[in-house]
Amino acid sequence: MKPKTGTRIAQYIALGAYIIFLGFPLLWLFSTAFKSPPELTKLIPTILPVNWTLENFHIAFGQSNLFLALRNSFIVATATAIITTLISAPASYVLARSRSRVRTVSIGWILVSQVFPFVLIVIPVFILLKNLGLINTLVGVILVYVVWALPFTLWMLQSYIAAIPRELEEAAETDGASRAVVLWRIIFPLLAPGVVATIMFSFISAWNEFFFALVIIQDPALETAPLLLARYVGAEGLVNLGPLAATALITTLPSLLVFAIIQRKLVSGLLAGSIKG
Amino acid sequence: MSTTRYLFTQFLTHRYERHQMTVHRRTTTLLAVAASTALALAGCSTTNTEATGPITLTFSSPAFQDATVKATTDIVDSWNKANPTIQIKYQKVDPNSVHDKLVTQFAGDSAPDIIQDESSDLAGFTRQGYLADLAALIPDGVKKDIPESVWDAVTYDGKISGVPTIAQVYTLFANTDALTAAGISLPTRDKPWTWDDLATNATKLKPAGDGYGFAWSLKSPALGLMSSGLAFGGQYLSGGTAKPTMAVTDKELEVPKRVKALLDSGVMAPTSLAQSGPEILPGFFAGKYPLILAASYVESQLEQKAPAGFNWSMLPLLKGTTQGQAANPQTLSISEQSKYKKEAMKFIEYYAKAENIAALSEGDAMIPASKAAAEIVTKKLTGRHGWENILAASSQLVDAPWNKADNFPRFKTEIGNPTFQEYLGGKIDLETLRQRLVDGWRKANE
Amino acid sequence: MAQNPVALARPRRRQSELRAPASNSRGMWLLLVPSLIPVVVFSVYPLVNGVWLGFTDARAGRNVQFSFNGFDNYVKMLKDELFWSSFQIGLVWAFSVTAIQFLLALGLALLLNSGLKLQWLARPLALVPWAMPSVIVAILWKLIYHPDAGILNGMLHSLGLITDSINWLGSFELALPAVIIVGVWAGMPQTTVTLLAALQGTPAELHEAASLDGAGAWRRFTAVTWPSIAPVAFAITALDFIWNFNSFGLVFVLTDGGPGGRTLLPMLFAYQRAFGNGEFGYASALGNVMVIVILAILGLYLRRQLRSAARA
Repeated sequence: MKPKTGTRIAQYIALGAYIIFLGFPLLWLFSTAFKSPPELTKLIPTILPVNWTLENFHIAFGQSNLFLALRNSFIVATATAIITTLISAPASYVLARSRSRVRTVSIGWILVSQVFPFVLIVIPVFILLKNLGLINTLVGVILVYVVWALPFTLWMLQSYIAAIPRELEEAAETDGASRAVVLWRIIFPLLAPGVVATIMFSFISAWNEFFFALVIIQDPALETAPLLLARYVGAEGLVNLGPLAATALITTLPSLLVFAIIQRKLVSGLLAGSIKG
Repeated sequence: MSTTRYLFTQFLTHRYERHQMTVHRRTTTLLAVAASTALALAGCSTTNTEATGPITLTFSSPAFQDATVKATTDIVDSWNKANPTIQIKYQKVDPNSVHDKLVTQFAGDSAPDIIQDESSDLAGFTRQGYLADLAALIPDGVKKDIPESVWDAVTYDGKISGVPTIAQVYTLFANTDALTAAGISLPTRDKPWTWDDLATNATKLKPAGDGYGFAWSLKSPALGLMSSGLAFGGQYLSGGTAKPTMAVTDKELEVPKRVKALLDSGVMAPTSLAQSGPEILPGFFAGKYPLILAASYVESQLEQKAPAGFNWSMLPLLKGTTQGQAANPQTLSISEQSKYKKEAMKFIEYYAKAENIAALSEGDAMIPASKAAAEIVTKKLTGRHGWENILAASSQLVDAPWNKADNFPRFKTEIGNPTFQEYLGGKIDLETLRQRLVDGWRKANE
Repeated sequence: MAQNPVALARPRRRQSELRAPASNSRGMWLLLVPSLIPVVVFSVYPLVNGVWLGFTDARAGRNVQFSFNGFDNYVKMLKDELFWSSFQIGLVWAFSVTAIQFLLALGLALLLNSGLKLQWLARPLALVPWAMPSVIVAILWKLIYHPDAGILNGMLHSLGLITDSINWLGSFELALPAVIIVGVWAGMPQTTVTLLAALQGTPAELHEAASLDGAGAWRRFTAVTWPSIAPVAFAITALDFIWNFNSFGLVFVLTDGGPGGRTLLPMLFAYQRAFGNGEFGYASALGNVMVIVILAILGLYLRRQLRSAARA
């Protein structure tokens, strides 16, 4: 079934419009990051820099707490990803293997947690962390991120486990292996891809999170990258557009990178049909 | 939370378990390496905090302009070198959210020991018991070096909760070449421009085609309009208590009315209504408007960014019936939560030394509260871009009536800024402006 | 949550799985504990506590002390102009972003599903906003909207459409539309991918049969495509609406609610109350009202959808 040429042309025009709408902001960020100060204040700017310069990146790394913020983000995101996965792996096994109410409850909880605005949660969490002495600490942030990533990691992992045939376990058990051995030797290796995907998801969500960090972190030395940027864009960045763009570009790279890795798989799955067309 | 959304779409399409089963082993290795690095880093950072021996005090400052940040860093560094037992940790905060940040910090028991803020923000924090009373701690030298009238601005019910350092004013910046070209001579300190002169000259400067005569960065207009209103005797608040009463008479409305007239006649650039001080500069440089009114700190941006050959100067404060503006100095406070108030005051004393205040004053183009510092700055900067006009303004500063009002910060952001903007933007008339300000103040104090 | 959108869209799965052997079941429950404790302590408890705080006069302080004050917060809210304007703005924002997002995403999904070239470029672009922190999305668009150095004004200038810079995010009239566009950009991926997946689930034979019958493109869409993606479409728009109504970071960085409160979304207003002003109780009460608004709208929306599903 081949569409008419006219239709095809219209489709390409539409697709082109989408590509511009989606891609142009990224191109502009990229271009701003490489422009020199005089070019940035021109009333009619050019789309690409006339004179490419790395100056903005020098300023970005030199003047702000960028390294520190990236380090903090990295610690928070990595710790969140690992802890979340560690504690959700055993639980997800239960969810996958027992047809209990826990499953329904956990899905229900994921939904409920979406309906409630964060302002309802953040105040009690703030008071709680304060009483624990964890306000203004990365540990406090990690704790909150772990909890809010949990429902999703549980759900992801349990579906990986559910896809592993029960017969494998049963066969091993009839051979006399203990349950622990079965879990370690049989389930875990098969689960590795799921674990990696889960780790990456929780990494990105922790890397990108802003609201909880805004409330919990007070010390600029502990700021995560989104906090640094939000502070920078407030006063300094507005007068230093180039370094602002450079900082934003650097900050977004890690999550884009991780996303790109998993996305290849996900996209090929989700969008496979469109290639076959 | 974009990733949570991602997962949701996966639920909706119930596909992901089938398609995610293979991820390269290489990524697993990468992650393991990343994880161990992160844990190692986390380990380092936790061991640092349990330091014994020298104490560390935190000091938060909203300074953001290169010169002031450098001056602040220099002060902290030289102090730290000289005082190994009392180390200061300098924390930069966003100047746009100093108040919000402090509310959060006080509530979370995580406030810095030494806090830089401005006097109009201190009343509420003082009365809520967050700021230490410095009266007994302030050394005589510091006390004597700052005029009594400035101390009044930071005294609340007999408690002093901040040491004033430098104060900003709202001042005119002129593109002097453009003024000369239009045959307009610069005002002098003896013969400053009145608001009428501003209107006349700005109108004269407006080109026939595109362009304007004047711009005022009014993104957060309340403080600037109210402070300038003092020149016409517009007090807004009276009573000097925690909850003074608001009256908006013709005196208070004088400045908003004049600004509106400039907007309506096309003399003032409407874009500047939504821009902050530094943001109107590109237009100033490009000749879109040869006169701008902005907080004096913008001087530092001009100094740095003005294109070669661009001649400019700060002009004397505009005159209404007087040249009065609000004294709203930057202050250093000590939080009540701090365990080391005496040590904190020692640092403040050091910070308040004449040379240091002079450096900060130069960096932010603000008036030093200290007499000794003012002398240094006067000697150094007289004749440069109209600095003498700014320094002379110190005698014009009056203790603003809102300095003592607990709920002024809230009123300013929730009522003042939006309401003035609506009036200037032509959304509401003068009477509605008056009504909203009075009602808003009442509500903010309920 | 009997009517949850996910359940609507998701077929029941693996009901045939056996229960684990009884001897192991206690041990298996132990495995749940490490995740259960943090979830209860840091999300269930705070949520319940947050709802309750909405009925107290809690204020930020070194010791947060509070007492029950019934419906005082809600009475105060009724008289609070900012409450009314922020919720109104929140609804305009959430409805427009959700609707525009959906229409644009549907268009893109259909295009991506029709075997065009350029997929290598379009597909990753359709997903990128997903992986970006909201703060960066906001910065991205701030650079575009910048009155003096932004490309948008630059283009309009060079096309001769404007002579004076437009302050997109600073204008009373334009600020909300401007942030809505950013909201659409940031939220399109999830809708696009969801719809695309649903489209790919539509059996190709149906299309072929329809086109053999001589049905035009529009007819094919309404008769074949739409019915098969409708459940997913309803679910994703419902979710989009929730997310958009509760949105914070994007607009916080773009305008912080300005100018003159014209983009003050409910979450920004609540945040301002809680952490700018220390009114923990009132902010929580605002949160509670947000939940009620969402549930009410969702209820109406999904009821209509269920009814039409029953009729079909």
